[in-house]
Amino acid sequence: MQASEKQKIIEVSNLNLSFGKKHILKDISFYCYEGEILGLMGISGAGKTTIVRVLVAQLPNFTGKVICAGMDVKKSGIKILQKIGYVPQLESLNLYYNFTALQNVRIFGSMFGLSKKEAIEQGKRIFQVLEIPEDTWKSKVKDMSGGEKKRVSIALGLINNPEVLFLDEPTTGVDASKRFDILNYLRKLNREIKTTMVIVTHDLETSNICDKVVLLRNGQIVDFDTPANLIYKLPSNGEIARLKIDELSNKIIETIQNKDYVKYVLRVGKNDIEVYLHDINNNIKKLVDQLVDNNILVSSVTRGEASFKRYFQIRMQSIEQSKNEV
Amino acid sequence: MGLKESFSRIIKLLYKEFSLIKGDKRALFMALALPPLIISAFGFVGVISDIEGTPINCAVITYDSLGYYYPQYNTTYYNSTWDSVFINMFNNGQFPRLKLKIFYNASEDPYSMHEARLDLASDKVDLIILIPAEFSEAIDLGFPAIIDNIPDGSNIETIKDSLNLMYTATNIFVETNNITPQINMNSRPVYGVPQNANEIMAWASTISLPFLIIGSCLTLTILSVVNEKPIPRLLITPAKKGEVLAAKYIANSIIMIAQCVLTVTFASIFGLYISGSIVDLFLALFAIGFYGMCMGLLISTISDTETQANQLLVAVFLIMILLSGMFIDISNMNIVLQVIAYGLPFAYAVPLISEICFKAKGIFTNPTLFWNFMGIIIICMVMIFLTYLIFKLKRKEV
Repeated sequence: MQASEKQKIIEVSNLNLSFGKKHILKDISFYCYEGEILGLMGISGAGKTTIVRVLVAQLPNFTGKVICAGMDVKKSGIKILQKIGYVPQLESLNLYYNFTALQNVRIFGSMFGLSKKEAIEQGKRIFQVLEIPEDTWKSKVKDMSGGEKKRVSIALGLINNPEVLFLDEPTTGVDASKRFDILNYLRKLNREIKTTMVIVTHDLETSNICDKVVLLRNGQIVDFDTPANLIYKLPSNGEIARLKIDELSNKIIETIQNKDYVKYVLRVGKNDIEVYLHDINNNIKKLVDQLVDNNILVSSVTRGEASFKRYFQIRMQSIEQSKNEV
Repeated sequence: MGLKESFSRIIKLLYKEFSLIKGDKRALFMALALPPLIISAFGFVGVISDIEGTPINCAVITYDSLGYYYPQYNTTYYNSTWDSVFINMFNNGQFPRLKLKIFYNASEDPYSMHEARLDLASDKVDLIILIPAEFSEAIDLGFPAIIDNIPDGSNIETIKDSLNLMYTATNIFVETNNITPQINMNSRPVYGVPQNANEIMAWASTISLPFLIIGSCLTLTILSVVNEKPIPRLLITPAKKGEVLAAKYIANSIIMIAQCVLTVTFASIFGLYISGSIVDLFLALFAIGFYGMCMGLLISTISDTETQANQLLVAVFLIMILLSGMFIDISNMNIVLQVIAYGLPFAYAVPLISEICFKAKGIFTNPTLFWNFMGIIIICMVMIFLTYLIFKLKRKEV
């Protein structure tokens, strides 16, 4: 199905929110289609969690149009809660540690009108998708490992088979390997259960599983697009030349930066830089030749694509620069 | 060297500890303000209240004016001099704390004793003083005279007080009137604890049962809201705040039913004297426990941290004890304190338990007891409303 044929399950237009005199959200507009994963990204205080609170009808005093799970949040109010799932950042805020995983599932399932049997069946189904070991299902949550707790927490968010699942910082506080696992589980859930997901995060790796990303800063949208399109917006359309230069110094970086065909230079290691060039095909050789002519020893040159992390870094730096210039 | 480093680390840890304490400003405020507040409250109660003691309301019946028939002279002799003196002294307030509430002349009203007993049963009076026939004659002839007193035995304080006060009164009577005969006293409390019942438990029950039930219900519920971290998460389901609270009230009430059944059962096993209905006692205990639960949930909802909840628990419990009427009778307190005291459970709980256990009164048959019971229920309703309001207004965010 093409994106244009899909239903917009989340649509936010000109969302504004103030707490007293403080303008928290300023003209926020974005959307998301059914079955997509949307990332709300930005540094702390950008307004990510506040947007989610508006979407889950916890902050009613906003202006603008907000559609969530196909319902107008302003009109439907808390009725929307029947159609959404929520996974908080901390498991302790989501799980009753003295109950078993299945008891937790039963409690939260019953809030959505599920019978004991239905809740447990649904819970078991999600536990299986999330590969939570069966022998732990009847263990108290407090005795589970950190990763298992996180997955039970995600399972609770899905207990009502929601149209939209909100996840608040799902990878925060877990080590690199588990972070990778969690992102994989989320992708797997999205494919198997087809739930639309909204992930609030400042972990840029999460963009790997996102269909669209809303980049926020100080309550405003900086960019909204697919991760690939955002990277494409970088100088040289996200293509980079990676150079390893012996005895790399700031002076050398400055020399490179001053070339008229060089758009951006980023130091990424002791002797490594990433260079964003205008017309990379023709200018990469030119750059290396000029460096060699200036007795700068280039030990390796590779070509590749920028990561989302680089996009974020460059985008934020450019905003800071333009702000300083103003 | 090691000691110096250790000391230095303790200093740094102290900084951390003070920062932590400073972090919860309300808890810090309560930690510092609570002792002076409670002490001031005790002092205030003592200063403004009549610590002389509660008046003992008396019904006096005199049989002295009944005539005495002398067969040898075939005549009836009437002498009612000294009972009149005694009653006048009573009326003039010459007997400390004894207050003449009702006077019966048995020579005119043959049902005096019956009526006085009804007054005692309905708490109109605390003590019946009975001046027997030939009281004046005995004094005139120099024989030992007798005064009977019948205190309300459902209150151990009344028994002790009435006996002491009557001794004082008779001494004053003898000394003031410069009469020689000794006056003997018979004290026969009614509504007391019978021989076969556990007397200590019976006396203790009126105050200890409410404390026991309230204390256990408070501790059961005091952390119920403040400690349940997933509540904000529950509120991002169709569950409403009112429903979350209602579930807490219902669950704790069920536990309380079991608690009350166990309390009554064990008290009965150990010989608690219950002259009234056991169902009424159970209902009274349930209402008292319900108050404890409502107070516990209110404190838990107000508090932001466990420390704050525990501090409030101590404060509330101390105030409850202070204004329970154990130390100073509520009717002797300043009007402000009376209002507070009547907002606390003991003003209602103690009479409820003692009247059911000792006087066999029923909650639904005795209007006073019914309103004591309803007093607790009404306060509970107010607390439930306040708890709901605070819970509703308080921001609960995950």
